[in-house]
Amino acid sequence: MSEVHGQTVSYVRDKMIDEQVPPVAEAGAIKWLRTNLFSGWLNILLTVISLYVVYLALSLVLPWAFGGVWNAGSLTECREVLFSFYKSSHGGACWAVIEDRWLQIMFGFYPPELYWRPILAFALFFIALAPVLFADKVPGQLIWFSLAYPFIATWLIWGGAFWAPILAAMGFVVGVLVLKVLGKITGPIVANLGAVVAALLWWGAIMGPINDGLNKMVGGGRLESRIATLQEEADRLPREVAEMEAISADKAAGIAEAVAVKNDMLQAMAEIRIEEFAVEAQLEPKEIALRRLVGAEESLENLAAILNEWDGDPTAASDASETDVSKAQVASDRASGLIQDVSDLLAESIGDIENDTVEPSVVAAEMVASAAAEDPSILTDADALVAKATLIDPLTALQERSEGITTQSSLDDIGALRVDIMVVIASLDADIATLSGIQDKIIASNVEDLVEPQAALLSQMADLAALRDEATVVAQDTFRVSTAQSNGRTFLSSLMTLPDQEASVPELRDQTIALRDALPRSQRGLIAVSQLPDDASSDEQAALSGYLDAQSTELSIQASIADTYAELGRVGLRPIDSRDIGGFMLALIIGIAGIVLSLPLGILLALGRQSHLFIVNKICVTFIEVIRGVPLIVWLFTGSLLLNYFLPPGTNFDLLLRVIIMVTLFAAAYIAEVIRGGLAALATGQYEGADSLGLSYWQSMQLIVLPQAMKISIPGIVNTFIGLFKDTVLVVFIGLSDPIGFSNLIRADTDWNGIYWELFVFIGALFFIFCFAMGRYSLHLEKKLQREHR
Amino acid sequence: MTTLTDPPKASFRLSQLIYDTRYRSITIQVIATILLIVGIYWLVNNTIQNLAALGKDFDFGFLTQPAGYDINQRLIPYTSQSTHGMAALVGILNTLLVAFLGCILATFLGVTAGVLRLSNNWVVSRLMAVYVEGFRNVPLLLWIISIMALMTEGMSRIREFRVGGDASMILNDSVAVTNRGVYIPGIILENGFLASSAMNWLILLVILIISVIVVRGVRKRADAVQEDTGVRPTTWYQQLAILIIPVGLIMILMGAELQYPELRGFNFSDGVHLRNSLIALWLALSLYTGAFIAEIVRAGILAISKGQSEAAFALGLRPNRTTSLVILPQAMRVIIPPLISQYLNLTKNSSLAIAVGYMDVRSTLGGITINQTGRELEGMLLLGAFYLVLSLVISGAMNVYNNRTQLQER
Repeated sequence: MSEVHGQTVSYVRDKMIDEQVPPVAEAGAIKWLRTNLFSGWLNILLTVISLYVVYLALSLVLPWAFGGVWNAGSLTECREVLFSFYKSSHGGACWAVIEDRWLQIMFGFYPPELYWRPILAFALFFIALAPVLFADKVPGQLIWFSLAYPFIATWLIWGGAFWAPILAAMGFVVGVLVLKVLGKITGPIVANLGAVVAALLWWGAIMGPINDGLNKMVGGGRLESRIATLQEEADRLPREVAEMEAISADKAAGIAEAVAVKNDMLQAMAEIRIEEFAVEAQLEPKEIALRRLVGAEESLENLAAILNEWDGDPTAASDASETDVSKAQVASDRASGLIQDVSDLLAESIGDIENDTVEPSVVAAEMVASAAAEDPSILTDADALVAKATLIDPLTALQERSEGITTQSSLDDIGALRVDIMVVIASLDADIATLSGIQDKIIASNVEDLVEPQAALLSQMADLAALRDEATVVAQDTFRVSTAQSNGRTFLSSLMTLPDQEASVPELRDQTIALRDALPRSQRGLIAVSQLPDDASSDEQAALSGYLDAQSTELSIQASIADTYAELGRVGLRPIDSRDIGGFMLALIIGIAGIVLSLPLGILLALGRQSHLFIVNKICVTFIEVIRGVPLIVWLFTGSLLLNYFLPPGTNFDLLLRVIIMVTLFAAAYIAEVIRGGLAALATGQYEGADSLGLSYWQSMQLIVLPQAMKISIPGIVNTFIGLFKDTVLVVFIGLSDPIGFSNLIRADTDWNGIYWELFVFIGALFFIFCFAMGRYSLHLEKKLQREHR
Repeated sequence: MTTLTDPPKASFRLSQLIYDTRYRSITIQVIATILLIVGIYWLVNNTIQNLAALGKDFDFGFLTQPAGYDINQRLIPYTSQSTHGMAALVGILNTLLVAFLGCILATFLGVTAGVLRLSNNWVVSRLMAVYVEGFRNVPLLLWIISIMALMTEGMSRIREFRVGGDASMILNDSVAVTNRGVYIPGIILENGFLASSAMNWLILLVILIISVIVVRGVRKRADAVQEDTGVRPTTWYQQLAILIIPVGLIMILMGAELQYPELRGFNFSDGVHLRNSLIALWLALSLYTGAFIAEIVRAGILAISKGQSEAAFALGLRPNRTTSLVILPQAMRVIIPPLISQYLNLTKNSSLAIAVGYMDVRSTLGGITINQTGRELEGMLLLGAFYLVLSLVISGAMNVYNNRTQLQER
């Protein structure tokens, strides 16, 4: 070929040209900008608007956030520091409140020396989570730890004897054992029912006595030695408390000294800035007067507009028609109001200048001292200030003229008055400009003098914060020891009375039984006198109330014996009351407990909703729809107000536990819907395949359907968890102290009264970090699962 | 040779109840029913006992007794002498009001943010991502109290609006943003046909609804003409006229007038006062739900395969026609179901009104009424029933709509 062409064509390219460098506008950052940000007029507009929004937001937030104060003991101190840096109280954040209270927002009133317990529980949570989330990367045996984790975490957070969680877990073991044994003998229905009954029997009837027995066994051996220790402590602890109080008094004195030093520093800085303040004192009333004059001028303008519209006095101009007269009356009233305004405003502005400002000569005299020495032009400026009389005389004249204005006045008069007011406005404006010029110069000359005191103030504040931290530690120790002291005293007295109490139990028991037998058979089950029929005689009432009293005395004595033994025989961690659990920890506890407990319930509900059994299906559908149709907050109120109605009389348990129950039921309904979606997304072939293998319903669910459906539902479950976790803040409305509850508590403290944004930002950031991380994780899972499906 | 085995004898043994699949389902259902009945009996019995022990009865009579408390925001006439039932109704209307306003604004915000997040413009899409993630990952309650704090702490006090004060009204002196709420111009009907102003507004609403129905008729006819002739008659001016003229005419007859808020003494009078509680709740609910709707809209648009728009371009449709005729109708099908559940969430979340003291049904019926009468069981039951019915009605109505759009698939 080439030979042929060789004769006809003089040159044939046998090599591609090297790739050329693209034009500048078609490569790199410029091309990216052109295609992404400035590709059309709409895009340019959007870019500009959003850049402006970003600028606006950042210019508002960044100086506030990064110019904040970290060391201060109260909002007032924050403002003092900000003021010494020429910032308004909104110009910088008072992060000191976070520094001061962040532990409270995180842990609530949990004892500080026991923080390790919730932290350890939280760390273990991730280990427990590993076999669920990263099943392919961790050893399979770890799943046993995951199963044990709920009991370990509960024990760590609430404390108590170490056998309590073991006994509780034994309930499940008993259930499984019964299931295994019965499963071999009978069918699955009987075995399941038997397992549930056995577990309930264990928790309801067997676990309590075993626990009490263990307490009594351990406690009985300790009684003597414990009394001895407590008596020794009763001698020792008051001395320790006294020592600690002396230390804390020392610390308080140290703090008072440091505060005095700080106040002196502030005083010194104020003295440097005294001329600024003097000018400021002149500037402010004049600015107010200026605004009033502008207002007067505007009022005159409006008056002129009304008179112009009605061509003179509105009442005179109107004709006879009724609506017109009433409108004219309104206009006339308005005009009179405006006239009054003008006169008042002029009088007030005279007052502002007359009473609140001084002669320029006085101002100038104050300048001579230091600032003027650095910048002599200040004095020249001060000479330019007009005398008070120059402003007041024309204003007085104007005020007199304004008294003469009525609705009959001519537009010319009003116009002339307006013009004259404007002249005064102009001269006042010039005066204000001069003053603020002077102020700027003084500030400029003060800047250098202030650098050193400002730095000193900051370091003093840091020292002060360190001192306060030390004092807090001492105060916490004192509180701990004095609580231990008072608890020890109470416990000692209950130990002393323990033998007597134990001796009195049989007698009380006999007494109760005797009183009970005396009652008619029909009344023995009653729990209140008000339940008696209306025609009951007073004898009957007295008999019943006597029996009820005896019964409650016996029960309370028994409970107090059990409590004493529980305290005496406890081998384990110090118990913590639910009331002390709060802050972000509370949100985590409710959220995690809610999701862990609701997952099995949700699976059962989802299976029930998919079921062909008519009644089971309808029960599940009703439950899910009722729960989902009503807001969580209503369920929480139901839990705190109504749950006691639905349970046997006399039942009363922890508010936190009630909240967890309600949250669990609520989340279960949502999770059921998510899992139902997963079940529905499975191909019918999977169900049919399982059936054709001859698997039973539970086998097919457990081996074929649920593993696949759960995999599909994981992102939805994570999203439900995020929603649930955010919703935990609602518990603030039923009296638990979650982070938002603590933000209210902190604001109730006089030190921090009026602080909002710092707390909101901190709490919001906490939730954001957790929820955002979970959201990203769910996205990651979604992607991973998608690949597996292909 | 055929051997005929006898069919198994139809004998029934007790164990078949458990082992035979024909009977087992009945056994399970019977057990479930018995457990359910026992459970309900247990709960009801406990409740009766507890109520008796407290000396209370179960009675809804309190609804007809005078409430004795004031409600600062009301859409219907109400005084402290009105009944508890009336107070509950005022609360219900307030809940519906904030839910309605919230749904509108949330849809607007959500659609805007969702579409812009897909934009090629890097800055805009990042900004929208920040909005969506910021609002989705922080509890709604925090947003509500933040906006409330912004309103009460950040806005000017009313006395600063007086002549010579620091603050001034915005939008040509028609709107005042104060720390006690926002004052906007209101429309008053000076000489309405009926005595009560609510009834006059109802008349206007009915006329508007009739107009909308007529407009739909016009559109339907235009569709028919297009089917017949292939040319769509221009009807937008007819539609606009039918919508505007009757309502406008009646309003003029009733003497409608725009009333601007005006500072008199220590407060603004005239115009409409939007309380801080309403504003905070409304904005927070809308911004929060808007972030979720944005994600739904984005997912809906992304769910339409690229081939659809390419095919539309191949047919010669312009981009905006492609969007309105091809992409949106298909995306709507994906968007509507989760959108419904977001509306439901917004309505239920409006019960967070408690944080800012907005008088919704939870605050009146579920709050003050319960505290005053001590009828927590009855009150909570009614409250739960209200939310349940509302949820079922909304989801039912939306499901009807959903089914209609779904049917066009085949």
